[in-house]
Amino acid sequence: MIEREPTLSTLTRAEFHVLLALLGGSRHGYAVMQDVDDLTAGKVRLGPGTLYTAIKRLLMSGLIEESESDSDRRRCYRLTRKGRAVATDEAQRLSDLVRIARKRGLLPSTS
Amino acid sequence: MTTPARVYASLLALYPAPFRDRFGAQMLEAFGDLQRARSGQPLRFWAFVLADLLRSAAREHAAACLAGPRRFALEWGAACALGAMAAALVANSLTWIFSYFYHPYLEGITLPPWSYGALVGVALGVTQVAALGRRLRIGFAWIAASTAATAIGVETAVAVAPFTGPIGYGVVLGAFVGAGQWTVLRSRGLQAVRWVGLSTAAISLTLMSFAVTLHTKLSGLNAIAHSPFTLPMATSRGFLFRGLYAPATGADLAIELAVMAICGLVMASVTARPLSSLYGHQKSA
Repeated sequence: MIEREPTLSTLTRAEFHVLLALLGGSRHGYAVMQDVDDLTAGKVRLGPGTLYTAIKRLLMSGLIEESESDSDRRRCYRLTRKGRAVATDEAQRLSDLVRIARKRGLLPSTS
Repeated sequence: MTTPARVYASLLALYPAPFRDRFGAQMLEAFGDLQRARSGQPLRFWAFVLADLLRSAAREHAAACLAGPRRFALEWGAACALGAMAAALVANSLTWIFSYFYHPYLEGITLPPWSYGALVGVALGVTQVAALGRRLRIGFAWIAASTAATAIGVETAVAVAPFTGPIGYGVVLGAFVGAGQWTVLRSRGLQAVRWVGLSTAAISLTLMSFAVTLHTKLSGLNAIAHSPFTLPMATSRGFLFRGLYAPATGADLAIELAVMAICGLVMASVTARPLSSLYGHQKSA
């Protein structure tokens, strides 16, 4: 079987939200869904399908890994060092974009 | 298990089996929690869940099509098709150069069949290495083996074709090409008999257009060319092969390239699986 070295050139929105949720520590799938819902005030809601397709890609890319199961014996996931670095890069990229948008008057200036 | 959970569990069949096996149980758990949390809005809940399921299942199927052995098969098919098209273009160029510089003093001098064979081998080998050389760990040795084997194979096939006909042409050429490539892949556990057999089958299958292309090039070049074999299919499928002899128009060239691309795809369809499993074998070793 041919398996390519997994790469993740771009994060999808769902994947980035999963990484952000896991910055808070190890979580099982539903806890990630809840966290994303809370962090975005209900603006982003991940269904089980979207969540686990994102988890699959993040696992393959080495950005997250499985961790100890919780008390309910549910499978949990946590960020890897690489995952944290990629999340930081993505946040910086988005921050830069927002700064440009502010500069061009698309968003109100904060100062 | 509740009825909604049973319904959702059956809907998980829409995902590719490997994905379902790995994440199905976890998805079902997450579904159960979600359903308990949103029990007050069943319609909105199901609309959300179904949309999510259909979208992600479609995405997973698309990803499965473009991953693993299937991805390899697609890339190998593209490499072979491009290689066959490049071979046609290179052969056309050789014909054109020879015709351009042709002089009456040179009458009787012809380009030997092996020269076309070598060009076809180079074009195919280079394209395959360019596309998948790093992954299959093939390089110059593969190009050299393809070139030498195709050159010798074409020369031999042309010599024996009057006795064997078109099918024999394909069998002989395929056996030579298979044997040449096996010399490169043998260190990776490739079975000689299997690979030579597959190569023979692949090239025999593509013979219809591949051999006709070579034949028309050869006979087109030489006014008194030896005819390696008669080609009844050239008459019966004249509409297809009309353009193969020294394409004069863009349409002729397009037909020729399309035929060669099909040849490459047929070759790839026969050889992709053993190459793919060979790589897997090597990786797990």
